[in-house]
Amino acid sequence: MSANTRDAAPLLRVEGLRKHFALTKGILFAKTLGHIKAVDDVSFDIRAGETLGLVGESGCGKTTTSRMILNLEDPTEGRILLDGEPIHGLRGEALSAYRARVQAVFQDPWSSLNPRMKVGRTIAESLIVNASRNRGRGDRAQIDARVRELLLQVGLRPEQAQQYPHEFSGGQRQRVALAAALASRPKLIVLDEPVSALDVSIRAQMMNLLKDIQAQDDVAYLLVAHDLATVRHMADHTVVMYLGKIVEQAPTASLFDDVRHPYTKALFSAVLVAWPGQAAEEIELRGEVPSPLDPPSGCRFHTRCPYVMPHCSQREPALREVSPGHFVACHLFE
Amino acid sequence: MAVVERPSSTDPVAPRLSLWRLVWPARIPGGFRRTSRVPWIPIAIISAIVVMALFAPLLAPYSPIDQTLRDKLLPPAWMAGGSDKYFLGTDAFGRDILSRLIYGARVSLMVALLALTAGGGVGLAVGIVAGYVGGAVDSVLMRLVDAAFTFPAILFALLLAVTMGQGLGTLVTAISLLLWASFARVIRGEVLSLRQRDFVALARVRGCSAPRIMLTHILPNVLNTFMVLVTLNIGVVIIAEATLSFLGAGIPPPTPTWGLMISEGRGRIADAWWVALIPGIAITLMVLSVNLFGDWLRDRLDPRLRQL
Repeated sequence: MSANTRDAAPLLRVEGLRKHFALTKGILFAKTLGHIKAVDDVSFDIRAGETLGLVGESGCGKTTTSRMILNLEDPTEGRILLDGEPIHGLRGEALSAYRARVQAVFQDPWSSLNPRMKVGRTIAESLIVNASRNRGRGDRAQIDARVRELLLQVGLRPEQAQQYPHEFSGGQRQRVALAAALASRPKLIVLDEPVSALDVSIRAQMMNLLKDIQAQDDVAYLLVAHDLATVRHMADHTVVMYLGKIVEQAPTASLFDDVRHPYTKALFSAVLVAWPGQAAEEIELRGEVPSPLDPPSGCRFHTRCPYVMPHCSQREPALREVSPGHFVACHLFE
Repeated sequence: MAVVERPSSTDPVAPRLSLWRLVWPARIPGGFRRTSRVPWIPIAIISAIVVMALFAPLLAPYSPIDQTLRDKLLPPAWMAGGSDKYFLGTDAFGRDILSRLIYGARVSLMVALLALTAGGGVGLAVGIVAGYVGGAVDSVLMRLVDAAFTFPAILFALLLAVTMGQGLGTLVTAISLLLWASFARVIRGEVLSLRQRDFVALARVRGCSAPRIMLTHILPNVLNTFMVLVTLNIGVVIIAEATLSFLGAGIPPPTPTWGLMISEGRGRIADAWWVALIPGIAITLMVLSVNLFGDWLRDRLDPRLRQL
């Protein structure tokens, strides 16, 4: 776990996380055909108040990782620690305490609000649930005051608490979702593609709002994204995943200055450059992402890698530090 | 050759005025589709029947039970031999058919209300729990639903009538057992897709328990579908009630129900057709109206249910 040495006491630590989904056939006497290795031995840390970007194509396991951090799925192996405490297997009181500390904003603003619930009620929900668990019932006036405060914080008007989601635009809905996530004063918010469903003109507003809130509330973000510009703007550290594994991990500035892994290079060259004449190392990937049901042997990227070497298909490369804080899993750097 | 007159409806300036347009309003530009026109006639018929049921003692000219054998089998007032005293004629015991029809609406609607509350409610609960909890609970509940579908409903109702005795309770129980499975199946399908929506996952992240999610997040979102199912099933219930009463497994005579009235009149269909035919027309009108209204409601609220 050499990647974990950069901080002694992280807010959230992910250790050797694996998630394999069994693929079965038949109903009564189900036959296991194989396991989809959605996440395969992933480790990283998130420090208090920082943003960690998690990048990769669809199907690379970034959403599964975030769902495990949210305790919506149990890992097959490995563990996740919040302030040193394992989060899976929590029950009752401890689980609700965990729920209050880790919240989420999802990608699709049209799906993340209950259409039959006033947005004020959605924002207040975590407070109501916690109050009903602790004292029987919450202080109505106190909760209302907090909802007003949250609406102002995300740039909406307090009286909009009485409206239903269909009265809001996509950007406003995402602000409501953020207000709901902030209600319980969490330490970590998982942002799963928080701006990719928004118009480009609103994206920057939303990203700046997220940064402002981070500065005010000292909340850490796990930013799951496929858009490199978002990650560059938001993240302090970036983790690049491919087929359930981490291929490169570094402070964002150093990653963007000095891309090492061929897969990361390919991701970067897929982004349009600012000037047409700008010199950029072009890597074009051919073929589809291999099936996670039967991932390639050795380095999982070897089937599409332009720099493939004979031993790539035999040995799996380990994450190694190529410069301070910059880790790469590739045989080119051994 | 005759000059073909242009139909005035193609004239873009002057819209054709007709009595029909009053009840079936013309399409408003940019408004709802043709299927979404408010079904005023069905609504009027349903309202009339509901008013009849509610105010039966005020509206009925005679008691539905009292027999006047002197006036038996009188045809409706507009026919030869009909009497002004009995607008829709009388049956074999000299009871006023109009009064029996009005009181019979009470029973039909009461049975529909109770059976849809009981059967629909059970189906709603089963559908939500099966769809949300999933896994073994879902498998067990859905096998129960499958089992309920294989039941010969009428045979079972007759069995109930024999063991529990005739009456409203038996009738409602039998019809509820017929209904709940189809409710459960449709609602479960709806919940399965709702469960995938992000707001359900976020509710879990906020710390909501499973019962809380089912009550505050799932239930309000399936109520539209539930209301559509209820209206579409009113017709089924009325026909089931009529069938069971016709077979003698429903409300015992002399309490009038529409099904029972048909049953009593069927032996005299050749010489006194009105005894059986008039309640038959009432059932047809009611079921047709309710179904037309239900179709419209479905299109308004949830077009995805069109295949039902």
